Amino acid sequence: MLYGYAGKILRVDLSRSKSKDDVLREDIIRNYIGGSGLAAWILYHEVSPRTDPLSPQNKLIFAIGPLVGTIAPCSSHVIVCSKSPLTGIWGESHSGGFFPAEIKFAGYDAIVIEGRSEKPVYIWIHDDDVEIREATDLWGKDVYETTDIIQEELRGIKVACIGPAGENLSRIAAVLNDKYRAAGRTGMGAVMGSKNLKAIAVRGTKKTTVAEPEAFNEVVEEVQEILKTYPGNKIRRAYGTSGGLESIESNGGNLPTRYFKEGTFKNAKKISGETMADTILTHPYACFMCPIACGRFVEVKTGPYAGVVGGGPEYETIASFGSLCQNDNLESIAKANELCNRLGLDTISTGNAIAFAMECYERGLITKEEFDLKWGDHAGIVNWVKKIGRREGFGDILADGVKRASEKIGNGAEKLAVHVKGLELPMHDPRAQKAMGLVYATNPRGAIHKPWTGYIEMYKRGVYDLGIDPKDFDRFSIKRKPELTKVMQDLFSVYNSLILCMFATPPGTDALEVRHIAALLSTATGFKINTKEFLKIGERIFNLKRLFNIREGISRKNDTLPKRIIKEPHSKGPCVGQVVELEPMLEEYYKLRGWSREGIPTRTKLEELNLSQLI
Amino acid sequence: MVVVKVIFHTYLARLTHEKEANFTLEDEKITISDLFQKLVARYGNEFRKFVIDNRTHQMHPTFFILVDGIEINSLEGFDTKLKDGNVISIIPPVGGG
Repeated sequence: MLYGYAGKILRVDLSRSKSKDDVLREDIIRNYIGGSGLAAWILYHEVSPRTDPLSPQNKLIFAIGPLVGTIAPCSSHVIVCSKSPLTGIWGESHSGGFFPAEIKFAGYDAIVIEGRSEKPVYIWIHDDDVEIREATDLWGKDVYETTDIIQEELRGIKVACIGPAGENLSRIAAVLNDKYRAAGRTGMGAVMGSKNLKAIAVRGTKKTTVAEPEAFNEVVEEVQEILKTYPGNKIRRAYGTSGGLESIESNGGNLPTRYFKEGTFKNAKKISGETMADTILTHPYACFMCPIACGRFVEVKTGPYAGVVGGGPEYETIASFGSLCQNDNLESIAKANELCNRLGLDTISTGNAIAFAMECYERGLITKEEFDLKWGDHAGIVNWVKKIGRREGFGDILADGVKRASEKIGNGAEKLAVHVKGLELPMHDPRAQKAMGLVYATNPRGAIHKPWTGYIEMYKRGVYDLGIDPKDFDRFSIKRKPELTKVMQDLFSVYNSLILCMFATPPGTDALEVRHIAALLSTATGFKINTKEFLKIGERIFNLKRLFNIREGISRKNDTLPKRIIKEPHSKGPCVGQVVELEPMLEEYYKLRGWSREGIPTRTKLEELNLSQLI
Repeated sequence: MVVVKVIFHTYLARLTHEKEANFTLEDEKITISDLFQKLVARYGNEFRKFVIDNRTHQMHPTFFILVDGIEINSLEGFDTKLKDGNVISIIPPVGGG
């Protein structure tokens, strides 16, 4: 018996309209844990190189880990993985809520979707009862409507689905679960749409058994107490993830503004979590088993955006539709967020696409007829979200992300587009925290903020039992940043396989140490995993994803940053004069990783990680 | 005697019920640490529980403390000596995206 796990993988072949259970292999989870690691193993072995991401040959995986569905705090997380239609390489996005734990309750560690249905369908899972149901009536409906309709049939069933953007194969489409929680990045919604799969609905009644219940409960209690008393978590509850948007991010030059031209926004206060708490916030909400409650439930009662009710924007969304577009109207951001949720769009990539088009328009690269939005035009921003989600007019071009849009626009637009490997940058500026530049350049997904090294560089937090002390890391220096990047990437590779929220792990809550998380894993599964082995597993998972990308042609030439980040400093604020010195960091990073100068893992490294059989 | 102004940011303003306050420090007890003791004495248990790190019994290291705009880690940390008229900003740790 595998403790902590359900022990089964559900495979659904949509081409044949059939499903079956696979036994979860112990040899795989001992090496890759679950979640992101398990999905990496499956995709590497089952999706061959050069597969078209939107073809039936691609696979879409919803994976959870051994802590999901247990009482471990902040453990209801799911990883949605596939070959990305946005970047053509490793695709992955994370989401919280209640849906993830429900997958475990239904008796599964992962759901692997294969093939393509002829007609729109949704997958209905009620414990061992798995049905592929027709969804023609749901096609065209938005995420909120779809969720409501499915939940009418069985109260308490949890739903993950796509909206019109996923149906339209927008390469920046998201998968949303529990209405407001988004697996937004890398276009997983488009993969789901390409399979004619509208939704997955899950209800389960099974319990998860852990290996050492008493010891597990003790660790859970300790972790819970730390999470509850940690001051940063009280702020997360009071002001959400945008609590520091003015005080730390904008004042520190880390708030992307005017399409990454600047890092400070003069009206930051108007879009901050504090202002939200005083205006449109009705109450905080939490994911399953979460004592923090960073989620925002908002309602706009008056003005042009009256009628917005439900899950509110978090930090990334606020910065993407706010400062990035020079927009200081918080209610319009709440509206743009609601539209993205309903249409099924990634808020980061959508905000980026609009800001990018604003700059192209300002520079005369696109015509007034195509796109005529000026900085800060909040009504226009909201309108363009709709057009992107429905592929209307120039929205059709923006719906495939800034890289493709820039290639279509031409005239030098390619050099303006801010992305890494095709993925738009999240709302953390590497010129304000140099390791973040290396993270963006080397992450298997492209520009992703997990791991966020800003916890150490900007927020003065540490991972103390790994010897990471913020005192040693000057944010503007590149000293020891390759080492920091490697450790954080390896660490997060395991967190994303357990799966735990980054707020409930160090450095997100740095009163916790890695030993706490290793103890949760060990007592839940019975695998005796110390901190060192914990990191080794992370390194293995990270390298496996690198191998996946190398097979697709990725090497050093792709580990780059946008011109704006390496050549153009801010004109004002605390980061004036700063650009990211990527090349020296990259050189040292490859050495630390045991990769060649071309960024390819050496045979010795792969042997050390038990990966040499894969090449 | 040294008189300094303390500005409470975000959640701290909620806890202290004021956005700023003046504090008088006696001779020889003019460091950030000394000021910190005064804050705890004035604002009570809820404030203490929020700001104190149980491991060090000092203010939690993730708080940002600025003296006239300069972060105390760039000065002498909690041993930084205060002067008459200094403005001390205290920013609690934030959520992050």
